[in-house]
Order: sequence, then structure tokens, then C-alpha cells
Amino acid sequence: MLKNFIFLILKSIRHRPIRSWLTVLGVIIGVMVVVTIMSLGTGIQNVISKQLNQFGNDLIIIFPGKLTESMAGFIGGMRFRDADLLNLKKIPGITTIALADIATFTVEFQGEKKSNTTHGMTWAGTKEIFEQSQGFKLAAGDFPRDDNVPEAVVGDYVANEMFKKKMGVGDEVIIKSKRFKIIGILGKTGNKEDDSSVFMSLNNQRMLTGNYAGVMMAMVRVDPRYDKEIIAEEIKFELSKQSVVEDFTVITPAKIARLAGDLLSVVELFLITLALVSLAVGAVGIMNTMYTAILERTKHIGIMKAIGASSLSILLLFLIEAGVIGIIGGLMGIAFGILLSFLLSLGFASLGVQGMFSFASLDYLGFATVLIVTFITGIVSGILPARQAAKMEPAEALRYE
Amino acid sequence: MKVSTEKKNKQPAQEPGNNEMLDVVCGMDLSEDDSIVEESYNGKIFKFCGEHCSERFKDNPEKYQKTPILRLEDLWKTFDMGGAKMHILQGMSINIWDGDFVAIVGASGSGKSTTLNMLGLLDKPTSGKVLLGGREVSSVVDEEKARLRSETFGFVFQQYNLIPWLTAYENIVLPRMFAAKTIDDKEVAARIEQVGLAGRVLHRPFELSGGEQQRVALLRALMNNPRIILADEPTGNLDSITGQNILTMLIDFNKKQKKTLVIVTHDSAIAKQADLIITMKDGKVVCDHYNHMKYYA
Repeated sequence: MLKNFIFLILKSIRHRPIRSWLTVLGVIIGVMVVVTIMSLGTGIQNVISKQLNQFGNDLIIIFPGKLTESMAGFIGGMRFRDADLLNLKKIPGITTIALADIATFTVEFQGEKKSNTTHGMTWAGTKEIFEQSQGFKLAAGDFPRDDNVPEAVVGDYVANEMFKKKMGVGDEVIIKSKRFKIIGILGKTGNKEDDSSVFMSLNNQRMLTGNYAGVMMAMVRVDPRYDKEIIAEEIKFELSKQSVVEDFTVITPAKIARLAGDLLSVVELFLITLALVSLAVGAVGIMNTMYTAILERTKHIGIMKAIGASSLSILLLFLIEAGVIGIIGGLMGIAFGILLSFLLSLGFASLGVQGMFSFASLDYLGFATVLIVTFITGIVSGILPARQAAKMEPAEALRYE
Repeated sequence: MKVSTEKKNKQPAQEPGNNEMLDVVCGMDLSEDDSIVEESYNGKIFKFCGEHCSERFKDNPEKYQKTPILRLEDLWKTFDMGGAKMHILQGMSINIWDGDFVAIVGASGSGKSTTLNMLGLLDKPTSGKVLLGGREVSSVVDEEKARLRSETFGFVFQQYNLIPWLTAYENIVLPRMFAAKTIDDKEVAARIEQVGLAGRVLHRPFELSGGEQQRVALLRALMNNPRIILADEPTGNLDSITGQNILTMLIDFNKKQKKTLVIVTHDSAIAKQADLIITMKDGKVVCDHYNHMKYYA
């Protein structure tokens, strides 16, 4: 019986190819969005986790302004005094303090000029933080040893892609009429911002900016035997004694992870809502098609009932048809969703965000659930029109033209 | 057997359904008729709407002591047309006897097709009863109606009513699919061969001529070996030769296989071949079943 029904349904679907495919398309879009979100959601988590590891799980960052208004702190030009930050070294457990400043300059290389972010930092602490906490590796050259020599380290993108000619160790760049020797080139970090930066000593950057009054931020490295949260509290206590920057933020890796997690939850919730709306649109599409199909086939329903089809058979015919549309749309939606995720991940990769997608991390159980939900959505969408079709008296249906 | 005939004036009106006032042959209610023919048989008085029914009774009185295979009893069908009531059938009562060829005739809008739909359980009456072998079936559950339509009735329509997306073969075997019965391909092939459709079965309806489509519809109607064939203007859309071929097949089914055949028709030539003609006017059976002949003469 079921075999006969499936046969009749497939024949019926093939009889109205355009309408059937448009309905399937509605479901495909809904499922594709869900699958893309599921696939990239895992990728986003992986990338964030990678970024957090790169950030260093033994680092504490200090910057002006409240956490919720951190950009205002930077833009507002609030700066810590060097001494206030360096004084933190007395806190037990702090092994290194690197002071850092950020600026934007035009960098000239072999006659070509590009705007770049430059990071000015005290090399002594930075080298240790780069290599041990953040896992930055030098692809070539070395880190500078003297804060007063005009030397710079550049990111992978700056060295290899930003300029027409590739940059090498020993080459020179001109920043604000001053020549800097490229002494090291960082390997690809996977972070577009880091890969596009030029790193120089704080002294050199101050000379370029002419601003010798304090720094924007500091990175503090903590001995792993100490509790970072307690040290962060001690830093806050010490900094509360200075009055230059009244509002400041001391942020630990755990706090960043929490913030990223919260952000990810919000993003996921938004995307899932979007996906559910898409699925609902697909469901309305199925319902619309089923209603239209019933109107179109009212007379045929009458014929089928006249030759012995029961109301239950008609109900099943339409429900299975709706379910089949759901399943076909679901399967194709999953395939297209995976393809879209893959293509998006290629796009993200070209922007410097690696590892957004991998076949190994696909949630196949989740996809199976999506497929079941789609099938059920199809059936539920088909219930109303199918019931209407089943209830019709054969003569009433036969009169329909 | 002793049968005597007597013509009487109109009897006082009685409640419909009172067997005393029913024509035992055609089943119509005689309570409002102007004249009734009476026959006595085995000491019992039987009333008839006219000479025709009386003659049929006299030919085989034993047959009419049994239960008719189909009976409509005081059947009403009313449609609500935007508040106005439209009575399509008005207290319709008829008997259909097993193995008979019955023609239902009448002008357009007289209720012929609605009557056929009621006989075949395709429509629900507003009131009244449909009796199949004495069993009231108009109020049975839908699944049972579907079973009866599948096993007892075969339908042939003027518009053929084939499913357009199925091939001729698939249309023919569709009733067996719905009845969840196995399909004997050899038997189906033999039947297809018999009606001259071999080589056409893989075509879809729009690729077939009207006559071919009606033969497909006829084979479909016979697929579950029904006891009764109900045909609504089966030759109405066909040329005379094709129409006659289809009619011959239907009459063969009635005469050779002794199955009941009910045809709704406008064609007097078809009606003349029937065992019983039921003439309808304004949703009622007219007293003299052969009244229609004057319209066709």
C-alpha cells in the first residue's frame, strides 16, 4: 500500500515540476541556513578558542576606560603613566610587564606607500610575551634587542602581500621620513590585524608620534603558579592609587572567554532565530503548495474517492507528499548548507580568519535531527490542507472545475 | 400464480415510506399519484405506478418479493445557495433490482446525476435513506463507504475522469492500488487486449482519443469486479459509432455477467434498451416511466 502511495506521490510531484521545485526551494533555503549556522557555529567557536589561546592564557591586559566603553577610553586619549604600570612589577606572581602603544602611519617600501597600524612596545617584555604567551613564531630574522635602534618586525601580510614586492629581512621601510630596518618577519598568526601590523620599540614609536606622555595599554605576564584573578584584583588595587586614568579595565583570559562566550551565545541565538524563521517560511511554502495542489486536484480527489480511495488514503497521500517535499528539501538543504559553509570559510580565510570549516567537525547527528524536523514540518504543514481534501464528498470534488 | 389487474382512482395521501403505498417494482412512493394500477398476487394486493411496472411484476413476481439490490427511500438533497434552499432531489424513492439494466432519463437539472451519485455513495443525502441489499449505507462511516465504492460499484463518467499524470495502464489498475489488492498483470493485459487498447496503455490520457479514454475508464470501473456499474452519460462525449461500442461493452457486462447497470442518459436509443426506465422531473420520479418517450419521439 505504502509502495503504491509513494509511486502515486512521485508521479504527482513530477506532474507539477515547477511548483514542486519552488516549494522544495523554500525548504532548501530554510535548511541551508540552519546547516550553515550549525557548521560555521562550530567553526566560530574553534576560531575564538584559537584566538584566545593565541591571546595567551597567562596574560592580563590593562587598558583605559570601562570594559563596556573601551573604545571611548582609547579614542579619548587617556594614557597611563609608565611608572604607574611598571610599579605593578612589585606584585608577586607578575613576571613581565610590556607597555604598548598603537598608532597609524604611512609605511613606504620601495616607493610604495601603505597605511599601517604600528605597535610600539618595550621589547624586553614583548619578545617573551610574543614567543611564550601568544605563540607568535618568527618566520625569518630575529626580534630587536635594543629599544633605541630603528628596527622593526613586520607581520606576514605586510611582508608578503601588502606591497607589490615582497619584504625581506634587512630591507628598509620609511615611516615619517625615518628609515627602519626590517629585522624580523612574523609567521602567519591567523589574525588579520596582527599579520598586517608593524611592530617597533616604544621609544621609536614615541619619537614618531612625538607623544612621550604614558602609554595606552600594558600586557602583564603572570607566573602560572599564581591565580590570575587574584593578581588582576591586586593590579586594580594598585592602579586605583593613581589618579591619571580613573576608569580602567584589567582583563583576564577567563573574563575574555566569558565575554566571547556571551557574545557567541547572542550571535548563535540570533542566527538560530533567523534559521527558525527561514524554516517557518519553508513550512508556509509547503502549506501554500499543498493548498494549491488540493485546489488543482480537487476533481482528481473526487475521482480517487469514487474508485475506492478512503479519506484516510487521501489524507495519507497528501501528508506523505508534504513529507517527501520536506525530506527532499531537507537533504538538498543539508548538502547546499555544507557547500555554503565551505565557500564562506574560503571567504573568511581570504580575510585572514582560518579554520572556520572542517568536514571532521560537522555535526552529522544534528543534521539528522534537522532532517527529521523538516520531515515533521512538512507533514504538519500538510495536515490542514490534507484534512480538507480528505473530508470532501466525492461528488462535491467531482463537480469542481 | 394468480394476478389480477385493477385501475383505481387516487388514494388518500399517506406517509412516505409506507410500504402499502410503494410501487414494488420501481420503488416510487405512490401516495401522491393520480392513478395507481393494482395487482393481486397470492392473495396480496400490489400497487404500481403504471402498466409498465405492472407488466414487469407479472413477468416475474418472485423476483419482486426479494430485497432490491439498491433502494433510495424518500431521499432529499438540498443545497444552500446563499440563503436560498435549492431542492435537487425531493423525496426520491426508487428500487434497482439485481441484474437489471436501468436507464435514468429526464431533462437537464432534473436530478439524474445527483440520483446516480446517491446510488453510488458519492454524495450525502440531506435526508432519506440509501439501502444496499436492504442495509442502510448513506450514514455509514467514510471508510466503509470507500470500501463499498471500491468493491460494489464501478463508475463511468461522461468526462472519463482519468488521472492525467498516470498512464492508461496505471489508471486502469488504480482501484486495485487503493483496495490494496494484488494486480494480476496477465488478467489486466487480457482485458486491455479485449477492448482493443493494447499498445496504448503506456500513453497518458491526453494522448488518447475520447473513445480510448472511455475504454480505459470502463476497464478501471470493472477492475475490482463490481456488482453494479453506474454510468453517467457514458457516451455523451463520443461519436455515435464509438458510443455504440462503449454501450455494447456496458450492456454485455449486464447481460453476460448478470451485473446491474444503471445509466444516466439523454439518449432515447440507449434508454429503450433498458429493463426499466426511470424518468425524472424536478427531483422526483414521474409516474409513467415512459413519459420521456414523447420528448424523444
